[in-house]
Amino acid sequence: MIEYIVRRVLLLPVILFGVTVLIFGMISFLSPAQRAALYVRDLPKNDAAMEGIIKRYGLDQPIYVQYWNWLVGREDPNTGKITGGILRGDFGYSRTGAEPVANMIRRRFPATIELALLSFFPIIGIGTYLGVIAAINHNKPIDQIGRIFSIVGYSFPSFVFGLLVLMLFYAQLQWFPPGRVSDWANAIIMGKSWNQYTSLITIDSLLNGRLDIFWDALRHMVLPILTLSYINWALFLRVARSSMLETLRQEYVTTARAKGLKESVVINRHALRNALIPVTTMAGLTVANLLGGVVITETIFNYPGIGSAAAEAAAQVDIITVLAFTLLTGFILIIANLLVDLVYAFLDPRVRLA
Amino acid sequence: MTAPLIADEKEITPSAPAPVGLYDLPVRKIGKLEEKLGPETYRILRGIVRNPLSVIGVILIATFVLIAIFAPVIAPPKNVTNPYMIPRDGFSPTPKEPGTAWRSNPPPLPFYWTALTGKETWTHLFGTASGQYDIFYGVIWGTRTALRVGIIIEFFCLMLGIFVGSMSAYYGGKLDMILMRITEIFQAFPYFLAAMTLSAILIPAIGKSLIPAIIALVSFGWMGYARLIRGDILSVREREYVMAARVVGVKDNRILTKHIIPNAIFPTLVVASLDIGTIVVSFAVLSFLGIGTEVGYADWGQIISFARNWIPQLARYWYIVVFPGVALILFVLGWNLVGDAMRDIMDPRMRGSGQGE
Repeated sequence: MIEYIVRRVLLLPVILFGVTVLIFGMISFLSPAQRAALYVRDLPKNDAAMEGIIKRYGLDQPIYVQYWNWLVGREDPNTGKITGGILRGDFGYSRTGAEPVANMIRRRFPATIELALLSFFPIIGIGTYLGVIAAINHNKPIDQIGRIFSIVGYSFPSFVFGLLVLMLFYAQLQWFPPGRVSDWANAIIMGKSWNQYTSLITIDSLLNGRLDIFWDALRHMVLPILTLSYINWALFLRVARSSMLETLRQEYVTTARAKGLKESVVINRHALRNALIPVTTMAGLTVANLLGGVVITETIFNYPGIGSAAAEAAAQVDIITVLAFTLLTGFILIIANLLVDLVYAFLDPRVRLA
Repeated sequence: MTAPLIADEKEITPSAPAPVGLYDLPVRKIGKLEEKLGPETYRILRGIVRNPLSVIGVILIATFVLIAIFAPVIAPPKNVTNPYMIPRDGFSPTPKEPGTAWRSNPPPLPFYWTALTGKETWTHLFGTASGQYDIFYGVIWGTRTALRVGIIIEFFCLMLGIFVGSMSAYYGGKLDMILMRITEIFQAFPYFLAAMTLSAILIPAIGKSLIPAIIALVSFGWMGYARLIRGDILSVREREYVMAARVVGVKDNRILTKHIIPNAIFPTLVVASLDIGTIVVSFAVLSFLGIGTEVGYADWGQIISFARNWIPQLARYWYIVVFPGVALILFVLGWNLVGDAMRDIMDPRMRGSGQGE
């Protein structure tokens, strides 16, 4: 067990290094002139200005030198100040956001965290619950309904789903608006009397004692959460169902039944715990799905998180911003997967004792 | 029919007469079709035909294939040299609803139109999007785009995956270690995000077309197949016939291509062919976000992206989302229904339990 953890943790820097190489390697598809051109506004492109940019940012240097500069920063030939360097927290300047990328991430990340957190636990809870119910009622109508829901849900592209729920619940019924909060609530949040504790509006509003703002924020998040969740519900339903079916076939479950235990005890104490072990591995996948999903969901619902910023940046070929976002999600995902593996090893005695 | 049984019997009891009733054992009849296809393929085919859900899936896929093949007949293009550009009826930014008459220079009438309705003029069957792009043309020719893109991407993903996976499994050792770490690094990103990033970077380099999105989706789509085929090759590698080939002195790459890969490839091929639905969705999302093809290219995601300007009025302009959206959903559903049945059939734990058959 300890050897396993050590091996995984030692491998972490290798993977992280590889991730940065891969991300930066993508840039080499563009010539120095093409990269400089992204930052020159006026057309026709001024050759002297382009030369200046290429020289100033060292875009004509070998790719490994550029990689190193990108990683640890580079001394500016004019001012002597060190600029850039993702290890120093400098991800460059975002053209679409008109501010440093690091600022933009800091400003917009809480909104994404809030959305992801409010989706994450319901996904696991509801999805698993549905799967277990389906397994207990194997081949009964409820199981068939679950099966159809899972396959239809899994086939429903989330951007189509998002637009359809917007069409129904916003354009038609006016129940759930897009955005993060209403204008009146935003005015209060921006105002002086508002105390910012966590930057998560739902929590801050409760701490500020403003239930009206809490409801307003929640009303804006219902549709995005639904759009982020339903595919994962379908996924969890499948995994939990097959895992539970597998467990119910085990001999110790038969033994428990033969001892005369109540069916509820057999299911809750003997089967469920073991059936949930494979479900934990899904948590890592859920994090990946959420991080990929926020790009689409935030864009459709005009929700001001980092996902919509990344989509906007990608459409406007603001490569620096997109790279920073992808790098960030890659890091989050690697850490999440490591945690999931460790939890799994801890939960499953067959792995723990091996 | 009973020939194999007799052979076994002779070995066990060489001289004694066979016990009564042995030849009356219920022997499964092997039909002509099964004889021709071999037991494995036959079992899979039978499983698909017996499962009503997968039959629906097969019908859906077949319908889309037919629509794609007959696109020039169903929606005759205005511009024959570039049929994938959706024909426009003016340039007004306001969408028009389904059934509106075609005003300025309509494309040629399809043969069935006058016969069915008796009208001599062409209408916008599914309405128009902003810029007066005809949605009907977009959906019909978009079917071609979807199948084309799906098959191209899948093919290259498979090639790359099989190459990396077989190298890794057959040579093992350090090469295996390095290749698998590289695979892990590619898998460190959410698939869609990585593809979005690469596609955005490739657009200034090669311009807006199908190519950047295809390259991006291939670059981050091969890892699953590499791992799958690696696992299958690892188990096939230890079989006697591989050993036999090695003893006879067959060269490495011949053993790999003639003896190992053909015997290990089948599960990977099945999984891969059914991933087309997912791939087409990823491609559509890229188009939807404006990172795929140029505006006006017949592609489902591209048409749906016109709806982004009309979110508050979606109740009025529903047809921009609903027609291409339903096409996309049914397309993915078709592949997933077949895929679901296939996975049950191929799962060795389900074999013989009657559930997968």
